Amino acid sequence: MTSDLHKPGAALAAGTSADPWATPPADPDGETYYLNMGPQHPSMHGVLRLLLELRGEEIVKCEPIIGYAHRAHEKMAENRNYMMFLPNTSRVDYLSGMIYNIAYCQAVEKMLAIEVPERAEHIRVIVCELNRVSSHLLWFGTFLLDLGGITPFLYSFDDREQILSILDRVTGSRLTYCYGRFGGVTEDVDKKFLDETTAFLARLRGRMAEYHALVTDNVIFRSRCEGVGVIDRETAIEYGVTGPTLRAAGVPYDVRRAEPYGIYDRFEFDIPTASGADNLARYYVRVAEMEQSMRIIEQAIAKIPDGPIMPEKALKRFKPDVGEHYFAVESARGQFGIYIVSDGSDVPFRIKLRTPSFSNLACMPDVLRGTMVADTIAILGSIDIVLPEVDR
Amino acid sequence: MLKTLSDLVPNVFLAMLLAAAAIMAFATVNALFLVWLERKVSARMQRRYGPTVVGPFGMFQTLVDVVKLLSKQLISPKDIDKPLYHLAPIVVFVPVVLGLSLFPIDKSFALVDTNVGLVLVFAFAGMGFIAIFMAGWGSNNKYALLGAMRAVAQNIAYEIPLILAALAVTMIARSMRIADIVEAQGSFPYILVQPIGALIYYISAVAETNRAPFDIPEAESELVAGFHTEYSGMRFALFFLAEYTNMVIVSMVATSLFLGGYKGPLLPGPVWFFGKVYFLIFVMLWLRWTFPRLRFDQLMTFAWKVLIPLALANLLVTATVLKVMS
Amino acid sequence: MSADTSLVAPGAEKKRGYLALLVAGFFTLLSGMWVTLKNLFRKPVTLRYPRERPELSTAFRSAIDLVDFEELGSHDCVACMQCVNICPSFCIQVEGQKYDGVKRKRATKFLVDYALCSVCGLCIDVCPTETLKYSKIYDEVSFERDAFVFDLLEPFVEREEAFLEGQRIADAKEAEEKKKKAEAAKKAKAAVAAKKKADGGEEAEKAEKPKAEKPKAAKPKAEAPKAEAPKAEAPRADEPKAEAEAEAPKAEADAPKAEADAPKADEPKAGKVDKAAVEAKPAEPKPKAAFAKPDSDAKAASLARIEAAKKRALEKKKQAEQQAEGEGE
Ligand code: SF4
Ligand code: SF4
Repeated sequence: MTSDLHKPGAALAAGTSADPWATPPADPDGETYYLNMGPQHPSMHGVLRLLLELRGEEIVKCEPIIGYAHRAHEKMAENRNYMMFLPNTSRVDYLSGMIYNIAYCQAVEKMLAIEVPERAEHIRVIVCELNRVSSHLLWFGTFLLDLGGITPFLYSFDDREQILSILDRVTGSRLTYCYGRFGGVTEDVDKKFLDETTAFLARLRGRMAEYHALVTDNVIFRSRCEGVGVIDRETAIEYGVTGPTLRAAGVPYDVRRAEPYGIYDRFEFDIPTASGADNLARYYVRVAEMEQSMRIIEQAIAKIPDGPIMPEKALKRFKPDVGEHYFAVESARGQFGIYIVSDGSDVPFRIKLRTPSFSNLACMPDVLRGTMVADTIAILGSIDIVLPEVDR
Repeated sequence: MLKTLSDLVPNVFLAMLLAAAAIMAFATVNALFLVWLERKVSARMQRRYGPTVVGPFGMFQTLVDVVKLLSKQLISPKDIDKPLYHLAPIVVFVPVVLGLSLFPIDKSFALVDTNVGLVLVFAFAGMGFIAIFMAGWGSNNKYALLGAMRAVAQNIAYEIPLILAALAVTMIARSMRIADIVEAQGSFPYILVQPIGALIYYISAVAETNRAPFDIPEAESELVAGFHTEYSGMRFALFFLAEYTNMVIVSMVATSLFLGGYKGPLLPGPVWFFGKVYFLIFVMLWLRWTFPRLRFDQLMTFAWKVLIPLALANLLVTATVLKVMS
Repeated sequence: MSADTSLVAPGAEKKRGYLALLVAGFFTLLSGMWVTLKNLFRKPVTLRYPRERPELSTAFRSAIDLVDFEELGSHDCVACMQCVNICPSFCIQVEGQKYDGVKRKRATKFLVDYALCSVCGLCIDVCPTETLKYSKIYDEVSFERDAFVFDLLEPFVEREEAFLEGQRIADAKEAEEKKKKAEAAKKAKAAVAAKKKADGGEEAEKAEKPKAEKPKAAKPKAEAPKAEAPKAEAPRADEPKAEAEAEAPKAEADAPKAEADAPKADEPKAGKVDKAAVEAKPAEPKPKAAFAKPDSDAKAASLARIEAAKKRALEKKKQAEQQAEGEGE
C-alpha cells in the first residue's frame, strides 16, 4: 500500500515539523486540503488515524495510518510458553475474544493432535456463537451511532448485556475471556446456563422485530446506506477481505463451511450473502448472520451430551515437534488465522495472527475515494474494524 | 385588547429593561428545564434513568452543570480570528432573545406587539447563522469550518420552505401581526386548513434549529462538534442556550400560526400556549432520539427537491382557493 | 413499514414512484417513532450502580486470593512457585521458608499485583494444593498503582504462629507414627516384600497398612535408618526426612501424611494421601495434575475426600495418641 500522500521524513526534511508523520502541507493550488481524522475523534473506531485529502467535502485520497494500539502480542508469544499465551488471545480482538481464545486452543490442539471431549466441543460452539451474536449486536449499535442514531445503540447494548451476563456465568469474565484450555474448557455449563441461553434467543428474536421497525425499514437509514461504500467482489478478493464484508459482495465464503473446524460440520446453517456490496448489504448480512448463529446455538443446546469437559490426561508442560501449523476460524469479522512455528521447545518460535480487520481495513483508500466526509465514518463502521485487532 | 409591556409601564427605558430581564430569565430557566427534559426523555426512551440525583427527578442537575460550565477555563486556541471567535457566542444569543419577545402568550398580553411580528421573527432567526459562521471561521479548525459551511447552506435551504409555509398562513389571516393571526383562527386552528403547510413548517423548523435528524452542522460522528468544537465553558453554554431557546421560538411560531396560540377551552391562555409549545418541543426531542442523521447532500436534496416544491404548490393552492372564495 | 416486516434483501424492493416513496418513507418514520414511544413507558433496565450493586456470577473472576481452609485454620500455600512460573502477567511474588519441625515449606510472602493480572486462571489451575481462588472484588479504585498490589498473606499473619505450632505437633505425631509403621513394615517386610515385588506395587490399595508401607517399601533402606535415628526427638526429627522426600515427589507425597494428625486440620491432606497412593504414585510425581478435572468436579470430589479423610484422620489421631501414651518419651 504505497501512497504519495506522505512520505516518512518528507515533512522533516522540509523543516515544517519535527514529526515525520505530521500532516503534509496543504495543496499549493488551494484546490484540496488535508483533514486529520483521528486518532482522537469521538466516533473513530478505536485509534485509527485517517489522513484525508478533501475537495470540499469529497474525499480525494485517504490513507489509514495504524499502529496506535500496537501491543506486540505476537512478540509476547515468543517469550512465553504456549499456555501463557492464552490470555493474550482474547485481547487481540476484545469484541469476539471468545472466538479467538477458543481458536488458539484449537490451533494448539491441532498441532498436538489432542482429542477434545464432545461436551467441551458443544460448549465451545455455544459460547463462540453467543460471542458472535454479541459482537454483531455491538456492531449494530455502533453503526447506527455512526449514522447519528443513538437510541438503537442502547437497545442493542441492552441485548448484548444479556449475552455478557450469560457468558459471565460460565467464564467469569465479561469481555476478555480466558475460557478455553488445551483440550477443553475451564468450567462446565449447567442447566441454568442452557435455559438462560434459550430464553435469551427467544427474547432476541422478539427484539429483532423492534429493530427492523426502528432501523431496517427507516427511510433515513436506508438512504444513508444504499449504494454507499461499495466494496465489490473483485476489490474484496484482491485485498483479502473476509467475513460479512466479503459475503455482502456476494461471495459465500465462510470458514465454518469452507474448512469446517471443531464440530461445525454437524450443524445446519446458511451462509447469508447479499449482492449490493454496500453498507446496506453488510448490514443485511450481519443481521441475517445473527439469526444463523441463533440456529446453531439451538442445535448445539439440543445435542449437547454429558461427559467430561477436559481430556483424561491433561497437558501441563509440553514440547511440540518442530513444524509449522496454520489454523483458521471464522471470527465475527472474518477469517482469523493462527500460524504457529514450533522449534521443538515449549516456547513458540513464532506465532503470526492473521486478523481479518487488517485486511478489511486495507481496502479503505480504494473505497473511500470519491465519497463524502459524512460517509467516511459510516463506511468504516459498516466494515466493522476493531483497531486493537488491526494493530495487535 | 392586546396589552404590551409599554402599555403597562409608562417609562420606555424601564419597559425595555424589564422586558430584557424577563426574557433573559425565561430563556435561562427554559433552557435549564429543556436540557433536563431532553436528558430525561432520551433516557427513558433508551430505558435508562437519566438524571436522578440532584433535586426531585434530578431536575436541578442542569443547574449544577451550569455551575460546572461557569467554573471552566475558557480556552482560546492558537491562531484564531480573535474578534470573530469572541463575538460569536454573543451574536448567536442576541437575536434569540429578541425573537422571544414577540409572542402573545395570552389574549391580552404580549411583551412587544408590532404589525410585522412574523417578519421580525424570521429576520432574527436568520441572524443566528451569521454567528455560527463567525464561530466556524474564527475557530481555526477544519471541523468547525466544515460545520459552519454546512450550517449556512442548510439554513438558507430551509428558510425558504419555512417562510413559504408561513406565508400561506398570512395569506389566510391577512396579517403579519402574530396576535392577529392567532385571533383569526376562530374556533379551529390553521393546522386543519393547512396540514401540508404545518408539516413543512415543522420539518423546516427542526432543520432551522439544527436538531437531529438535521444536526449536520454539529454532526458528532463526522465533525466532532461542528462549529462549536473549539468553544468551552460558558462560551459553549451560550451556544447551547441559543439552541434550546431557538427550539422554543420555532415552536412558538408553530403554535401561533397553526395551533391557535393561546386559544383553548377551559384553561387560561398561557397554559394552553406553553402547553402547545412544549408539546411541539417534546416531538422534536422524540425525533432526535429516534432517527439517524441525514447526510448533507441528502438534506439539501430534501429541501430543494421535496420541501420547496411542496411549499410552493401549497402556497399556490392556498392563493387560488382564497381568490376563488373571495 | 409495519413493525413486523422481516428484513428485505437489498435490491429486492420494487421501484416506486416519487410520491409513493415519500409517503411510504414517512410511514417508516412513524413506525420508528412508535417503537421509541413504547419504550418511553417501559421500565429502565440499567442498574443505578453505586446504589444498586450487581449480583456477581458464581464464576466471577477477579484478583486471586488464598483459600482459607477451615480444616487447616489457614491457607495451604507451600511456596512451590508453580503459580509464579505459569503466570503470564508475571504478577505473583511468592517467597517461602522452612520452619523447624514443620515438614512442608510455608509461604512467607505472597504478593499479587491485580493491576497486572489478566484473570486467566492459569495459576488456579496449576496450584497443587488448590489454595488459590478468585476473589470477588470488582470496584477497587485508586490513584496509585501500588494500591493494587495485594498482600494475600495479610489475613493469615496473626494465625500463622498458632498454625505452625499445630503443624509441629501434628508433624511430630506423624513422624512417630511413621516410625512405628516403618518398624512394623520391617517386621512384615520379610513376609510381604516378595509378594510386593511380584505385584509391582500397583494394586496395593487396600487398608492402611499396605499403603503406609508402600513408600517405605519402594525406597526402604535409604529411609529406614534416617527414620530410626530421630526417633528420640520428635520435633526436629522430620526435617531430614522431609527434605529427602521432598526432592522426589515435591513434598506432597509425604507432607500430607504428616498433617494427617493435626488436631483439626488434616482432612484434605489426608485425602490427598489416598489419592496419591492410589493413582499418582507410580507415574505422576505431582499429586494433582493441573487439568485432570474440571473445577466443579474437583470441588465435589475434594469435598467427598475431605469427608472420608476426616473420619480416617480422627481414627489415626486416636491411634497415634494411644501409641504416644504407650511409648512415652
Ligand atoms: S489469574 Fe493469570 S494473570 Fe492473574 S495471577 Fe493468576 S496466572 Fe497471573
Ligand atoms: S501454586 Fe499454590 S502452593 Fe504453589 S506457590 Fe502458588 S499458591 Fe502456593
